[in-house]
Amino acid sequence: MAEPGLIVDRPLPVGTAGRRNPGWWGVVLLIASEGALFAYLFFSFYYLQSMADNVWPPSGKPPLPYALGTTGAFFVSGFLMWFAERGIRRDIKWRLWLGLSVSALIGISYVLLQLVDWSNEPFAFNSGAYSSLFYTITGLHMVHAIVGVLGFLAILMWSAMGYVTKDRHVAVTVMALYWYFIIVVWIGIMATFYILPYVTPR
Amino acid sequence: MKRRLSILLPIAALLLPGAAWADLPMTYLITDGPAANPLAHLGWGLAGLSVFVLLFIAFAVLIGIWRGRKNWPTDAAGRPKLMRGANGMPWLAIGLPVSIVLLFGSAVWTFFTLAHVSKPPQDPAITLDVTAHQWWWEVQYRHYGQKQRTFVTANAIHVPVGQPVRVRLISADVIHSFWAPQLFGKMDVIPGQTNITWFQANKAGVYRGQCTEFCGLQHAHMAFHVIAQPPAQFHQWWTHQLADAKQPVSPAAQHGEKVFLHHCAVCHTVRGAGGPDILAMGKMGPDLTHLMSRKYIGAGILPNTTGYLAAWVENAQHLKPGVDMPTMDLTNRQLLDVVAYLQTLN
Amino acid sequence: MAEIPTYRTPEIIRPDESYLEKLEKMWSDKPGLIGFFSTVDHKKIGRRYLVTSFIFLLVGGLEALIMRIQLFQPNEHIISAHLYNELFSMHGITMIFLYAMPVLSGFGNYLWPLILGQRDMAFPRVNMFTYWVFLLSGIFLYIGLPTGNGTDVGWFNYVPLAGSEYNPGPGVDIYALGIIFFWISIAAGSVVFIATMMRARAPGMSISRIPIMIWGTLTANVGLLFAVPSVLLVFLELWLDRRFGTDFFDVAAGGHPMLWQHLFWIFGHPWVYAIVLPAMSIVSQCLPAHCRRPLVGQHWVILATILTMVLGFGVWVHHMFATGLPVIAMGFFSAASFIIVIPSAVSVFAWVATIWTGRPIFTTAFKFFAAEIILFVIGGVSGFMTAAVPLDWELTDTYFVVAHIHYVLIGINVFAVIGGIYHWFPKFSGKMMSERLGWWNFWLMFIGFNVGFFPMHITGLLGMPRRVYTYPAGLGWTWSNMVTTIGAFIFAIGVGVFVFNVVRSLKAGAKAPANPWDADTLEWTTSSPPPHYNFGVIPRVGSMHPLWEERLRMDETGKTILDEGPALDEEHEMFGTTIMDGDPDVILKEPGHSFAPIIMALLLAGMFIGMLLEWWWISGAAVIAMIPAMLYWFWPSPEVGRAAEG
Repeated sequence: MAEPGLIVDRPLPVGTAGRRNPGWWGVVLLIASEGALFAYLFFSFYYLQSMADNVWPPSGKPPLPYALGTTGAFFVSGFLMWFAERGIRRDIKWRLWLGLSVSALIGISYVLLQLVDWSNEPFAFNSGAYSSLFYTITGLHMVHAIVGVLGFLAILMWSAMGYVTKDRHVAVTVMALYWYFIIVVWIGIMATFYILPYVTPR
Repeated sequence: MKRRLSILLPIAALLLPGAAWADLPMTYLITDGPAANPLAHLGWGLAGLSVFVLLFIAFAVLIGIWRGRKNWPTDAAGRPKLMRGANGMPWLAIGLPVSIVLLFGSAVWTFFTLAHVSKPPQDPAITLDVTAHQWWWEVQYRHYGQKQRTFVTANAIHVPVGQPVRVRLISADVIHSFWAPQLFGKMDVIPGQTNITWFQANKAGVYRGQCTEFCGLQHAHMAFHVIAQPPAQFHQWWTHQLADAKQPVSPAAQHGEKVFLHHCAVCHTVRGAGGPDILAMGKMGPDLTHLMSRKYIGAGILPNTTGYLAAWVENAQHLKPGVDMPTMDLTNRQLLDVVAYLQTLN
Repeated sequence: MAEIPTYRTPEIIRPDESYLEKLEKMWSDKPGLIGFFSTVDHKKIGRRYLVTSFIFLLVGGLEALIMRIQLFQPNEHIISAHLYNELFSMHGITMIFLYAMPVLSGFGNYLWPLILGQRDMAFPRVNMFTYWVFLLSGIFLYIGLPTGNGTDVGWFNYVPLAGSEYNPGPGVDIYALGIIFFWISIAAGSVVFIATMMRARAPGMSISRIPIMIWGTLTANVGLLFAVPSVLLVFLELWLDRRFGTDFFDVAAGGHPMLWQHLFWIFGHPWVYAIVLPAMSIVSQCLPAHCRRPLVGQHWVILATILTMVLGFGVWVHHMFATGLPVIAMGFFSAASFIIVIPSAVSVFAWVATIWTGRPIFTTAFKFFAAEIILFVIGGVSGFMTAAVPLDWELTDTYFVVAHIHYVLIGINVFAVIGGIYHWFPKFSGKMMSERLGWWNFWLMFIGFNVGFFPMHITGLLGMPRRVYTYPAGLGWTWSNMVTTIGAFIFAIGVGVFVFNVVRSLKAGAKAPANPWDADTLEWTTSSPPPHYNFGVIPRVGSMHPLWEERLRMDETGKTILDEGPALDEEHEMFGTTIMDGDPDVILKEPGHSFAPIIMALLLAGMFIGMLLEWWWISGAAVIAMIPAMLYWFWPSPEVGRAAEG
């Protein structure tokens, strides 16, 4: 048995390679780093909450239905992205179109809903540590969602131009990964800001 | 401590040409209290171990280089023969266990020291509130249960010899660090939390301290002094501090008091000064009621002499640029009279 | 457009003239300024990183010399307190951020593909982007000092002193925004390095055959990937506090200044390892070549490197021992700080054993590496002393810590870097550096450094706090400060000799052979300097020491094949390989020259300038312009499918 690597006399894919593309790794690493960013944001939240001498949130319990609705929509779009990515691997274009366009719409409506929620909040970004954290965390998450929506639109455009095929779909794969990441962060946000105030004893 | 010093002094003397230990008020290698002595012992111990490790490795490197100077065989192609195999592994196999044992020992010593100094030997009878300002120290003496025995002073901390003192640290603005090396290690003064530390002076004397967390423009000029006195003398001092300032007698000082009330009293307190219409109750700057009982002015930076006092009153910005004390617009006469008045505040 | 076949079996050839000429043409940059701004060649990026970071080193050094003049004697008032505070802040920012990591990125960018037997990094354009961002953010950070608006609260920038209440001027905003800008470069760079190590090695370079220098840089970058977000966030929070009145650090509104310290040091300590581990791995890689033997216990050293970084995330509180934390917490972090000494000891013993059992050649590079070992031990044991909590209460924030940080950063980083330059200069430039000047260079730097910085330990033990712009007489601090200033100037002369040697050798140095040191790794198989394509045929790697296999009698287990191999000659091609085995599983099409990196970097700069001046329309325009710029960057090339290619 010869050493692996010393023998290269077999056909190798050229250029496109799905997960073998370094780009896939690039996005995974980017997500890891971004994940750390949100982890530190949550650290800021829980650290300051532990130091606070008043009950968080200071303005009373948050609107739970809003958060549950958003969560449901995110789960739908997460499933659709998975469905789309699996589809394009078998060259099923309609699944790709469906997944991308519905996820983009959900992303846009999430951003709009978030803005509505912001305008309904009884506090401003500078009315205490809780509200600073609330607006910073949800704001950064929203920025990520906007980037995601732009990504969806770009891939929609490229697939309309015929660049996205069974053999070259790494863009869809990494986009899906990024969107799952956004959903996971949302779950953290929902738990921290919307669920926890209902379950903690104080 | 003493015995160790006798061995180390000659070495130290070599290291410090022209400097006797007595002239080193800020060194923490010689200390004077139970909050600092174990730290100094640990310091000498770990420093000794460090020097040993350093010399060992340095000599190993030098000898290793020297060993390699002998001619080494070449191979058939005339290239120097390469060493192969793991023949250097004993260095790791012996070096690592030894390092681990030394580190473990150091860690155990550290933990014992930590446990030992984190609490005073007995519950302190005296508690001080030290408030750090940019760039001076406000010191409040509290006598619990007797509110009228509370007073405020600045930059000079009197303590009784041989008794532990508890210090509550409060920040008026930014982060500072409270440190008198021969009595206790640093404790930061952080807004939003009250850190508590303690110390005890075993000998009567003056100990210097300084802020060590960078706190802005004049961080370099934020010193204080701890004056350790025999308990009787200390309590006498306390009682004296409780008294209001005496009314000035000389005409110059009387005029000086008026100038003071108009120019200085908005920031400085002098208990007992002024009348029903105007009081010296300012809180921005140090309490000056017993100014002349302090050896230094400007947060430990200048000796409290007539000359420096006048220079400070006239133009503190020149001596300590950026300090809150403004440049006073006083005539010569006013200046001299204010200084004359201040010098009555003993 | 020519259709590119989806699968191809690379042909095994022995390269001839015409083949190499074709490659050279294919991989060359465009001529002139267009080429300068559009290149993505890792060797050029590496050289730019090295030169730029060295310029920052010289600037930071000048700042230090001015401070040393001020501290030469007590009560000196040559410069004002404000200027002094600006200088020590910028000195720290410059050395710790703008010099220490980028210089290592320079080595990494130049050498990684050569050592890994590859033609480029995984994402050449992202790689170029990181350099432009580094350069622009460095300039951004420096706009304050010459205009009198430099940040003056030190590199760790504690709140509330750095908050708008106590520091309303633009200095801290420049620092906060500039450093966020800078982190983008560092974070993107670590993605490039990690992906390169995982996916772009020579065929056959399995995980156990990766040379040690790669491991050091890799470990640092993995650490940075997780540490940088912390500091990026904390500076963002500070900027929001300052400009928009949020309350992260405002005690009155529920914030806390300790949040700053935690987040800053959660980043800060891994950062220290990030700027020493690659430097240590330079020593581990080069020292053996000058000792005529492989590194003793090389796999142990690699494991120790990784372990150091992992532990490095658990020791941040040792920067905060005096902040009044619970004793139990301090005991825990103290213990962790003692434990982290162990992996460092592995490296030291391995180096000593390598010298002991090897045949050292007394080159300038060797001198620097041998000196590094000793300076490392000094910096290490002083760090070990500060790990003891109660002792640290005395040591912290005195000149003892200043001595420690300089022994770590100069001793471990600068000495290894200069040794590394002497070692690899022939490869970088095709010229040898003068060993005669090297002798002067080494002894001036070594003596100057120790004369300058060793007395700082004593200054610290005598109780002098750091960051004071002047000090009174009569506290015993005078003579050691004088000696330090003298030493600093000797050291500076040594650095000057180094710069002179580099410039002179570039012009008039002897021509360098391919492998002047008889070293063991793949970069020495290429000509000096290497051709644009690095390797004509892709090497196939059989061991960790490809050029020493025969002499170490390792060729029974695996044999590196250099003279014939797979021809990858259609555009910018290289292999992608599996993580563990280094088995090629794809032929990657690397992007060629592109303006996208510099455009993106300039747009980012525009965004940050707008944020600094609060000209929001500039920032907004820059952000909107990023959308087409990103589309341009990621536009799928019509011939190949690499929509997500970086």
